[in-house]
Amino acid sequence: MREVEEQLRSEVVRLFAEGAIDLFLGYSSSRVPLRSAACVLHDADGVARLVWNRTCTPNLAALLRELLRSPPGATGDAPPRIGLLAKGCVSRSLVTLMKANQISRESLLIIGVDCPGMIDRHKVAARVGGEIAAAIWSGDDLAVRATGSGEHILSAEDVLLDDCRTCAHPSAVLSDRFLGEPRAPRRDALDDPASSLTEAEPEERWSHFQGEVARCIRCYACREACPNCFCTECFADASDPRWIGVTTDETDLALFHLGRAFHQAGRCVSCGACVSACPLGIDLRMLYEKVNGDVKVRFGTDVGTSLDEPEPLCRFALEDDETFMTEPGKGGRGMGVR
Amino acid sequence: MNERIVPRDAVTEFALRIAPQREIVGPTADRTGIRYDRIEGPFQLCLDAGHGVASPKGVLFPQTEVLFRFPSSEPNETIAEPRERVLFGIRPCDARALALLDRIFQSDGVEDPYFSARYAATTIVSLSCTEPGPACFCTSVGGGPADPAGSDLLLIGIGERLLARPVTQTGRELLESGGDLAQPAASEHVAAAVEAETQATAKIEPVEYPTDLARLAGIFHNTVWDEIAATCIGCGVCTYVCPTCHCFDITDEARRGRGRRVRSWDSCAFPSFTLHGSGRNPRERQAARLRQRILHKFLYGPERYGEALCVGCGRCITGCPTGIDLRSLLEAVTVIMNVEGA
Repeated sequence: MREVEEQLRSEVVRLFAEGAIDLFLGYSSSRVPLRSAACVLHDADGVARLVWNRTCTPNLAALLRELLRSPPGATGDAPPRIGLLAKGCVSRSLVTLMKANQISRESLLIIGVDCPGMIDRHKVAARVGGEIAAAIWSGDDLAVRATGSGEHILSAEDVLLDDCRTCAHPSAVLSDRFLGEPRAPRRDALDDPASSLTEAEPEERWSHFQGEVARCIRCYACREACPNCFCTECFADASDPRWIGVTTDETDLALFHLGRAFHQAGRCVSCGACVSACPLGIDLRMLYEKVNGDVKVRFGTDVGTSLDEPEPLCRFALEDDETFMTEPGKGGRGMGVR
Repeated sequence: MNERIVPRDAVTEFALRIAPQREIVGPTADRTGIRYDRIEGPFQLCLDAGHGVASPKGVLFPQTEVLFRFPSSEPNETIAEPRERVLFGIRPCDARALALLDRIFQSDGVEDPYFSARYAATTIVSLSCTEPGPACFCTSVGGGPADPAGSDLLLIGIGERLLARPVTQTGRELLESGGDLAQPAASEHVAAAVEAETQATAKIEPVEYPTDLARLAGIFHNTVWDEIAATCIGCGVCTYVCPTCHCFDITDEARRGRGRRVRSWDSCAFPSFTLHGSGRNPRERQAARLRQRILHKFLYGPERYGEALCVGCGRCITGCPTGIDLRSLLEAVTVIMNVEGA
């Protein structure tokens, strides 16, 4: 990653010099150990701040709409041309956003990279049992000093985000420039919806779900960190009609998370940005993997990998199996035409 | 100063002994570090894993609170009979924050009866910090790792012992009830406490923040706010984990004349916070919302209460999903203010 980081910096300097971009959206170092920050550069001056490492968890595609809408310091009417760093999942988010007419291909200059997988800060915190006071990388090993519990040696593989563990497309699927060597899709991972919810008994699933969402403080970090959450007004915010209450009661929390999960079906690129964003470390992935996995199995889609293929839940074919409506309860499957 | 010494391994016993008839709430182990929960027996208190993702403000100012039900004239149970509680083992920054909330919730001659009743029934026993967190900057905003503000009793960690320093009369009485678990402190213990505080203070990186209020007000329209908000995604993490953020919303949940009035936390980071019924939003952009949060803490707070509404706990920094660092924002604003502020 160190080499790619160097290449990235020189590439960004070149893009600004050529006038190819007005802004660059990437990651910069953070003063907090084991974290990176999203960063927006207006010129090549801040390029030394750019980093590419295993803590670059935010999905930068989530920041695009606001940047395109009201670019800081913009004077003209034309939307800025934005250069951005895209790991595999970010590139797939860009594809889904383009298909949903949220961003235009022309407004972006995509620098694709291969991603070795990001670390899950909540897993690290759970391992060390305290606040991370300092961290030093040595290859894929990580020495962490935690408040109250001293030093710990961890391997990146042990604390990888679950979504990165099962990622089928670690390399950007769409880019204008690619830094480093792209990796072929991991076909073995494609067949693994990997949901902790699928195998458990209903009561067990329900109690796991309830236990997790009970932690929620309704800060909506999961929603705002998600590129897919681009609704002008979220159902959770609507006041007329008010779909759900404002409280942290069991019902309101469950409704928010179930509603959001259903909206992710067939659209979630499994970037793990919501999992990283959640301050309370809620297992949000269980829901999205479940609904997304169902669409994947039934329609054979691979989210965000093709600009031409219509979204599975946005198309209709006469051959679609409708037995789920006509013969409910008989396990009608295979709604997809494949 | 009536200081006593409590063995660290007897701290739960000490807590249970000094508050036999009262509910004890303190830090307990959680997957993200700690969270504030009821302490009922041994092995629950977790005193060395930091101050937690979420602050203890929710204990006194719950995220969701039913103010009353209707049709009925019965007051909320908080006001009817506040629970006697001891908040045990919170950090000095959080104790200071609760004292700030108390001032805010009774400013302009209007008292918030819900918060006030809980705060009045709560005794605060805080624990000094020996290992400040990676984003702590309490020393820059008037606090410190062993700051007594807002505490009734302050425990200062000195190796295997805790030096218990009463701050208020309530704290003195509490300490008296510790019996043989709280032996009189010797001068060497007091010296060790000073040393521990000095060492912890040295670990905290100072932050420069804007203190010239007139000049800070002068850069309200500066583009610096756009720059620092460029990566703000408009979630409410910073405000909800903040021990001093206190904005709330009031909602009636009613059906056919029956229902309840609910108060719940709200956040200036949300577009809906300032959305008018007409559809107009005076804080249309994220930059205006982030500016509001910073100015509320560092301009309007000092103007109204004489001090910043920030205790430097660093939770907004470690909690931000896109890695926005309040320290860096304050430094950037200070630089601009010194150049441009009139």
